[in-house]
Amino acid sequence: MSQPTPVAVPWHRREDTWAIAIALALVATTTAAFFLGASRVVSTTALTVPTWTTAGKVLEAFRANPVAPLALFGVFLAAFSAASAVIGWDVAKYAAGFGVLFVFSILVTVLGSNALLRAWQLETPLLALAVGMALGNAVPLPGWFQTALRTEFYVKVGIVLMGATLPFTIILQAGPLAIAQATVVSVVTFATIYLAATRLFGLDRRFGATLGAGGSICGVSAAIAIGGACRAEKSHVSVAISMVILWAVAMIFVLPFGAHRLGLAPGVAGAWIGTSEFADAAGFAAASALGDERAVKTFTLMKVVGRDMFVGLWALLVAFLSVTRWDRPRAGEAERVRVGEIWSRFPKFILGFFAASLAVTAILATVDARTGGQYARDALGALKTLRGWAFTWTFLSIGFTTRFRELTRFGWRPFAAFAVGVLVNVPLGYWLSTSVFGAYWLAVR
Amino acid sequence: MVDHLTRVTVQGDSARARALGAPLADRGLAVRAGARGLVAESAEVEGQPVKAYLRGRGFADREFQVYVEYARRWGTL
Repeated sequence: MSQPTPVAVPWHRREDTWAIAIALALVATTTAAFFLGASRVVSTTALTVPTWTTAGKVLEAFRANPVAPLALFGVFLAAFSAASAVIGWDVAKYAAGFGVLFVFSILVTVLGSNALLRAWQLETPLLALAVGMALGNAVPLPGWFQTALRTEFYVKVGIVLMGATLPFTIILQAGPLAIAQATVVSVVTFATIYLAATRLFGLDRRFGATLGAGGSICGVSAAIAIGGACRAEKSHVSVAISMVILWAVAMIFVLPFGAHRLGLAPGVAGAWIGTSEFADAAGFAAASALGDERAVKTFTLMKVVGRDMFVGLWALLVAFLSVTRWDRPRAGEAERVRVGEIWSRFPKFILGFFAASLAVTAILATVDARTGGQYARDALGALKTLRGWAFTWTFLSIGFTTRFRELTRFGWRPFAAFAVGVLVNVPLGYWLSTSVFGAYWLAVR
Repeated sequence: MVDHLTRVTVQGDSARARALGAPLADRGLAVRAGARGLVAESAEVEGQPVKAYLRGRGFADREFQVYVEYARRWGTL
């Protein structure tokens, strides 16, 4: 089930390329349908489930638009199968697996729309995770089904669609602030984990840097990028990934619960999750669990704009440190570091996120207020719904692929070093989000 | 949880640069001629041991570049 390493894969066979293409095609189609007066075609695909107390209400919603589940399934199956064919996944197995994943997504969405479960904060994201984890850890999943569990792919599609619903003006206004907050928390957390790992627990410096990156920048992606940049051992990168997954999954439940208990406003809570969660997909689950769009927006600003964007720069810095200090070269003889490191380690799907945001902002700027309002309601509303489905497949995939037994193969020292970082990161993220920058996060609508 | 690719690049066409090809091939890397010099790749050999090996063979750090790319395997968050 392993995939070829990215440097060996041409751009048109990369997951990022297809996530961007599919999401931008959805934005373009939805926009074209709106201006051609055919919004109904798109809204048919954007299946929504109302909040319900009696099963009759759900059945009524499905009866009112019986084509919707099939249309939604058909559109994404066609798009994802095309991507599978080019990327090199087994298309037949993928299609069969996606069919089952889709059925699960309908079931958890219906369950997560139940008024009582919502009142208990058990909305679709947490239910999807819980169902996936319970089944994934209890029964062996067939190989063809596993082919469709593409957490990273689905979350990237969702993030690019998120760009369409986040005006570029908000990114410009809140971006510098998010970058400032992210820089403080990333530097402090990285230094904490690195020093704890190397000074307190005697771990290798490259291992410490990989653990630090996983805990401070952008989770698994950062552990992979920084592990590569400083040439950490493969086994060390795997341990760092285990640490990230373990803590990220725990934080999906801890952070929303904490935000509720502490009575945080959605915007502030989203920023805290964006600062203190360890992985994008897990963070979207935690932010979505709050059930408020503002939380998802501020989470995205913090995590994607504030933290993810800078992984390439971190990689360059760590690579430089690695060859000039840790390798102990003779004077003037250190290995050269390519500046191209920044671009080669940059998560390319972020370009799709910005492109979607810019395109929609440009459209809204060129139409009158009335048309803009209709566009926001009909076209962006549909895109928001489609984004929700992409995230539901993400959350189910996280659950189905999180095997706790596999995550416990590490020594106590990396766990302790990472835990020290968590103890610093979570309160620091809370303080920055509520006290230092709280007013800004409250203002994001 | 991850796959990896180790790539060693050697720029130029000097005798010294060409001399790096043999030890890299001995170490198990697939060596080929690139646009600017030698390119040696392996999905088995890790990056830092290659560097130590080349140093042990008397090559200086400036004479080559080691690039490692990790990629998550299926199912990794």
